[in-house]
Amino acid sequence: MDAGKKGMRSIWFLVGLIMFMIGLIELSAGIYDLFYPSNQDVKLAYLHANIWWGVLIIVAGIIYIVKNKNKYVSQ
Amino acid sequence: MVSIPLSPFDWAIMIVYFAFIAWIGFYLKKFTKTDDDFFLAGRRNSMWVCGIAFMSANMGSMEVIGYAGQSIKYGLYAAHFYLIGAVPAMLFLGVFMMPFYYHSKIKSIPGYLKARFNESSRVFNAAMFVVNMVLVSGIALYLQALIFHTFLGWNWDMSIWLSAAFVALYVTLSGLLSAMFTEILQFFLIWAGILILPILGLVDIGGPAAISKALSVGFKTLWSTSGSPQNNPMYITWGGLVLGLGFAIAFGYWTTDFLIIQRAFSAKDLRSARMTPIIGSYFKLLLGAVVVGTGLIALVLINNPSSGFSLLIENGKVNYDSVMPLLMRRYFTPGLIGVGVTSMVAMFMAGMAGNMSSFNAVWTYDIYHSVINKKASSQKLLTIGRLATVIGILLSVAGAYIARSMPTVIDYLQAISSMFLSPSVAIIILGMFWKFITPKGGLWGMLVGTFVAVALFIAQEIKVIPVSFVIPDFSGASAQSYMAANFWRAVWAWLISTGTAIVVSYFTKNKTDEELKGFVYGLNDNNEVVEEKIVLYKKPEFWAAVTLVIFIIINIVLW
Repeated sequence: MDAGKKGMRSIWFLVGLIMFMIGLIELSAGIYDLFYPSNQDVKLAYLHANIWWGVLIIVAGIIYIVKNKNKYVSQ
Repeated sequence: MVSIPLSPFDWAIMIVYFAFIAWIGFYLKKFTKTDDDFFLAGRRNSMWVCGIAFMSANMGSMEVIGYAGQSIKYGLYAAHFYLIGAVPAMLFLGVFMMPFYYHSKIKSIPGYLKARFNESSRVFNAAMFVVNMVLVSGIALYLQALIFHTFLGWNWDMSIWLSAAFVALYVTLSGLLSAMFTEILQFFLIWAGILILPILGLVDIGGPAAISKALSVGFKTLWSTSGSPQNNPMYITWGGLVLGLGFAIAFGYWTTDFLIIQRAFSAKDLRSARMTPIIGSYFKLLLGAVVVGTGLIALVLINNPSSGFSLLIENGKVNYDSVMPLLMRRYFTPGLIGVGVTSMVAMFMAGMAGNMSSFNAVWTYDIYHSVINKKASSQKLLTIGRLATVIGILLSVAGAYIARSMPTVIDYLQAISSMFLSPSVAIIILGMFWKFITPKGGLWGMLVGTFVAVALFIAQEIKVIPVSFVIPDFSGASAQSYMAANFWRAVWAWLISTGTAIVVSYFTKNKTDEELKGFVYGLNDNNEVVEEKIVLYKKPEFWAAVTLVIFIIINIVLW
């Protein structure tokens, strides 16, 4: 499932892809929240965890994508 | 009713997740051609793929959300489910048992029982597994519906049917291959959603020292208060923890529950199969720290009225399972909420997909192919496997409506383990390490052990016997020891199964050494197990020893 020439995409590539997409939406939410803060009563909102946590998820996603972009599972 | 307000960003994260998982199901369908592909993911996976899928199958909503709630009830004693209740059994599976399972080329645990004992043992074990799976899946489905219903405000029936339909769709399409692929994706999403929770919680309460300061000794130590059941919140002694949880229940779950072991069977070679539970053990330790840590943080907040944090109360009863969603509501800003809710959905999906893929494998191979249609073709088995998934999910929906009426699901879950897993593991381990046990000895051991455990549980539930009935006097019987009763019931089931198997074996005919070759310790005919010539750091034994050292250090530090 994680090595070979052609066939199925490596699972690690797909892991990178979904993490990148989700991290990107989370970061976008964080940036939007900076300019238009939601009126919810959230503790520690000033830490803007959605920004730095989103960035961390994006970075992890990019690492998985780059390392596995050419990997396929042989059939 | 409490509901978490979701922003469009949160909805977008959930939609991306669902679309991605559905696409994976369709994408993998073209790579699933034979029954081996469907049930064993083609036996071509690396140890990392297997190890992560192994752990992900264990990271269901019960194990994460449920045990965070248990930490409120039992304090640090809940960590025993991740320590003595997991690590020794996982390492034993990887180091000693996996070679027998892997080399016998079996497709399920009941398949091993057939090879070691006889067809009747296989069918009995398969039937018990199927019942167990439906009950456990029902609880998982109920918990998921509870999350949707309570925190998103969705209609209860719609939540349950929608979740069930989605699991049915992708497991039916690609079986274990799809289940394992999605489990790995979900593994990362679950961490993305829960890892940040204790970080923010610790910042909020003022660091780990605040936990130590706020909690009494019974709630913040592992063993020092286990001398007397009156001194700890679980009302248990160290004997009950070691024998019941650490031995009977943990070995029953980790070494014989096909749901998780099936992931190791799909490994490309023996070393990868052996490394599967050992890799899992590292993540299990980390998961314990995150889940129990989150629960303890919530406990500190609850003990401090000025924090404004309290658990959900429904019909006058405290809902312990609400801890994790309520903490997410407290700390998570838009975007993070989407990741948090998605991670809770992922926990459910991972658990349910695991339940269903192992349910259809056992039903198809060990009941349908073994009893109903012995001449079925590979194509026919594939169709039956897909049909079994749909039927299994429908049964789970029925189980979910039953679970809805239960008071506490985790206590109930441990009760199920004590009845259905403990007798099986007693016989499997006995048969694997002692050739003296005969086929009839194995079968009767399982039958009598299961019967006694079920009878004890039913008698307790209908109040014919008190909860303390199964707890020995020296272990301090108490009416409040519901969890202790589960642990001790498992011990009795184990001892009765073992005793029956030995007595019956004494009077019945055994198989020859030739017939037992490869299935019993000492009669193994495969050199790969004993003569693997690889460098030390690649050996499963080495990594098992490292986990063991970490496990011992944690127990000493938190003694």
